[in-house]
Amino acid sequence: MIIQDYFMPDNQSSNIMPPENLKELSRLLTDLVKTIKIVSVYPENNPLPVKLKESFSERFINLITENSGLLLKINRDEIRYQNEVVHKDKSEDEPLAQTFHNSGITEISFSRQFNFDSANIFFKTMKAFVNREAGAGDLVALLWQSDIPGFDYCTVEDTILREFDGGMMVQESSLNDSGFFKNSDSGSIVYSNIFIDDNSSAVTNDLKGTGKSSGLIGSGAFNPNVDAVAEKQMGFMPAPPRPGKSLPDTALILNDAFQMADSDKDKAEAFLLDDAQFDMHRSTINLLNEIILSEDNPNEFNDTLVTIEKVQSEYLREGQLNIAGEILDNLVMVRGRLSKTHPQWQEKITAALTMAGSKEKLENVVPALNRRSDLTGETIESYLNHFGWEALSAVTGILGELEHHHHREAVCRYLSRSGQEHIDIIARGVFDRRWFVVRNSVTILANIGGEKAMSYLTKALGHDDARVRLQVIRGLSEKNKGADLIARLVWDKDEVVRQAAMEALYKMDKEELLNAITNIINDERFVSLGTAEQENLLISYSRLAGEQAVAYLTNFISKWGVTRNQAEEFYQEAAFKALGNNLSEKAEKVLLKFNHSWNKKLRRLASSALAYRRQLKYGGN
Amino acid sequence: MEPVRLEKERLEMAGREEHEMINLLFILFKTAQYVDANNSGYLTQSAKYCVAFRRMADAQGKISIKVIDGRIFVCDKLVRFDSDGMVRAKSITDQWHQLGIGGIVFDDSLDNRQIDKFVHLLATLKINESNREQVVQRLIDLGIEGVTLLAVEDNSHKPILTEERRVLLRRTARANFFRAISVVEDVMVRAAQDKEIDLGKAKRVVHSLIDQLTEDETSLIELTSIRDFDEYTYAHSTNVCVYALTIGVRLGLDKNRLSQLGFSALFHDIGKIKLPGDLIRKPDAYDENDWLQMQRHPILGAKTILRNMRHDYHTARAAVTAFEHHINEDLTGYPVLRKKESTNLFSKIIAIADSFDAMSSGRVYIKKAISPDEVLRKMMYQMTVKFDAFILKLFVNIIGIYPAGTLLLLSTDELAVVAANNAGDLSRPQVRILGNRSGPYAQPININLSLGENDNRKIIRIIDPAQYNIDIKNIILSDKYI
Repeated sequence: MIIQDYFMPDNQSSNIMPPENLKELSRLLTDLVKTIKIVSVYPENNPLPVKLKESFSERFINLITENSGLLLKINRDEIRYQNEVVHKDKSEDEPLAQTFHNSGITEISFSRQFNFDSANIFFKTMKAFVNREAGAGDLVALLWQSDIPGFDYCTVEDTILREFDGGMMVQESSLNDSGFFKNSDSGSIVYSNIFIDDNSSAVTNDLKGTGKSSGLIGSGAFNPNVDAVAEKQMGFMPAPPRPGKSLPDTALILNDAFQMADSDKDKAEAFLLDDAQFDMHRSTINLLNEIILSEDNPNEFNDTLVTIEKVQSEYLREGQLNIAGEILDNLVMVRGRLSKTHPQWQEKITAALTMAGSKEKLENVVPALNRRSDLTGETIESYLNHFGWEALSAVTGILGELEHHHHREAVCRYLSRSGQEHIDIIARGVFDRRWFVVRNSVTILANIGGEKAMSYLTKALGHDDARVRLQVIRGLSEKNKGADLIARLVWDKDEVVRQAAMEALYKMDKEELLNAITNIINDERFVSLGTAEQENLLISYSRLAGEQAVAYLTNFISKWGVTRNQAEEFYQEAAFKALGNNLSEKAEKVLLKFNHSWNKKLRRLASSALAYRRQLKYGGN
Repeated sequence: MEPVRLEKERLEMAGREEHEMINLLFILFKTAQYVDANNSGYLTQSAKYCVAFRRMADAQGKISIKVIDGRIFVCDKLVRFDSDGMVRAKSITDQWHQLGIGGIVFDDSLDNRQIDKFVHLLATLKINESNREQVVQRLIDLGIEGVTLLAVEDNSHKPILTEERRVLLRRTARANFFRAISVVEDVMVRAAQDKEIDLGKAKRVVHSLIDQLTEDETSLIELTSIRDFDEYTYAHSTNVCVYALTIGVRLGLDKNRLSQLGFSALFHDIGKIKLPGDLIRKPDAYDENDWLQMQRHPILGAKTILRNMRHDYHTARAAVTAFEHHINEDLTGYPVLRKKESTNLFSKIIAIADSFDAMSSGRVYIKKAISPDEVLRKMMYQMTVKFDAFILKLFVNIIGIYPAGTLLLLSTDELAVVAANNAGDLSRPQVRILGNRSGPYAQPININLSLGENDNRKIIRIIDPAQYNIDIKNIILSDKYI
């Protein structure tokens, strides 16, 4: 865009801005940086950017009005008003001058037409550019499209254009005194030749007949039959012969034929409405299909395949997984169609499809996914479903790079589903140096379950990072599997992990839990657990094991002696509580027996346990 | 050289206020055509319009709305509509036109009640039974004093550009045109080397052409008549771009789509860069094998665009257009479509622009130029089969039967170059008379052949500059012949 004069203050070159206004301009440009930053980060209707925009615009428009416009020169890292530096980029994060400069903008100007609406459009444009919204990579193109009232800019191209002398074409040609005649070798002027052959009767007749133009248009100088083959190849069918003397002349025929009718207005509307529906993705996919299906030369076919791969990669980079997936679907369709005509080309498509799931390709998608939290897990899963087991390693690889939780979940779901037969590939993640990759692999392995997966999970039990060990517990707990593995974490050095393991165990199915608790109780480290944990474990054991637990618990009570210590007393009391939770007949008999004991304390504990048991079993006495 | 700047006299583009005011007025007109003045919907629209009107009137005094050559100006600023707005505006201004009204000037003293009365009067008139004079009388009867109705004639003969301004615009047009050629060349050379292409330059040059066309399309169209730039298709591509954009502007495409159309046109033939140089440069007529090769260029073009340019709306459109621009309206042509669906609007436009330029320039396929009228005659006979009839009509209505830059011999033994087309009479353009049998005039004479005063000057025939050793480049490029 070339800066328009009406945007400029009438006499800006001599118009000296008062120092206080210069300072205000400088402050405004600093505020502009902040405002662009805030506007870019926050949603449009958030009160913070709205307020900032309003206050900035008010001050800025006042200054423009007071100064009758503003013309700012852009340098690499500074902005000048006349010869004064009014803004200098302070950091790389907020490069106002650089943003314009790198886009090739050398001047920006604001006229008195610049108003609040203009400011809003300006900020919207800058936001699109700063956030690199789709198709918003070129600031100059964006500003042009935005058509901001009262704002204009000048680019390097404009400057070149100003200096670009279209007239050089004139200099190249040989101007002579006659002005528009080429110098012929003979030096003779050929102007009169033009009139030599125009004395045909047709001219005269037509002039008399119509009173308008002659019927000789296109004749004389041109041969209408030239390149007949070319015309045919271009799709032109032979036109009727030129009109003779008795027919109206060509110009009149054309004049009538090309007059617009009232109904043409509807056609324009229909075209505009139809064109507004143009879907760039759909049309690109259709185009790629048309191209590949029209190929009959192996080199061209390969070339087209490379083109398709390039386009597909671009869609991936933009995070357009649905479209990228559709391109792959189409390749599968094309592969099917080629089975009869070019079976040898099918392999190339298969190779291309495999390549689409390669590490290199899938890594392309990561930045886009991290940029776009709006992409759903279903979309990601749906895209990954295009790939076979060959992609499992690459998919596992990207797992650690994804920033959004729901994206990681989706990949985990995919790997859990697709990796069941290829656990060795997926389990590589367990040995990754990054804790979060290990954690994700743990999730997947826990989802898959089975002996092989459990063997890899065992390796994760000793991982340095507690978050990995916690994930083992969570993963297994969710799937109600691997209680024995969780039980091992009951002895973890980290209390949070121990606690989580214990809680997870209690949520497990009866059988899984019983085995696990039995192992814990039988472990020599059982006594090292907290008393509450031990008591809970004994109670759970008693509940789950039923009459099988009675003998074991009775043993704690019968160990009573004169020199009974505090620990033994704890176990005695815990054993009674555990028996109180045991609904077997055998437990009741044991408790009744102790209820008649000569030992007052045993009687009291047994009575209390019986009461609790009845409460549990019958809801009261 | 003086820097080329579009300065004070530049055709100003309407701002947001003008857009808002005119859109609200047209909505109000539409509403008034269906409901009476007491309807709540009408009252809401009326209130909105009056606020916008008052704001503008307070700032600018009188508000003028003029329809000139189908374009709408508010306070002498050109208004660009989106597609919906354009449809609405056109249906209303067409009615005005039928009444003989070429524009309306509102006085700032006009109050809300008078606005309502006026809008209802105009919206409910029986168009076929009324004319401007009757409307003026009705305004007087109703006591509406602040509205002046301009006659269609007032605007149609009013020059938009001064001659001084036109000189400036022609210079800018030249700079933009040649810059476009050089950008096409840059891009094609990079494409030939299979390098990635920066689209920024190309988009910007298209934007410059659009800016230029919005104000003055003639200066660019006449540059398309220069035919001898290159053996490849750089100038041809630029010509097609200019033609396509003029059609797009008339069709009412918004800025964004115009940008995509221009870009598509600029690179519709990019596939030719992948063809053997010998084929492109071949001086003789193509044989069957040559044609088979040549017919690969749409596919090669689409692939080149998809492969060497970053994928976005511009390139997606350009790829489709490159692929489809030789597919006919009846879906014959090449490449052969697997899925028989109508071609894209851009492809229809570019197919017409491309065929016209290719045949009239005599460089691309046809080895000898055909006169523009003969090309149009050939194209006319292909309407509906090869080309979309409506777009072809639109195209001819823009460039005329004798496009700007065409050399003509007149019945007065004068040599003239076409300056601009007359939409009302495509066979009688505006011309610049360069000289007569005795030699060139010291200063060219500008005349409009469609005016009665020039009835003595008939067009005898088109002159092929090459045949008579006339350097059309000098005529078109030199300021002397403006």
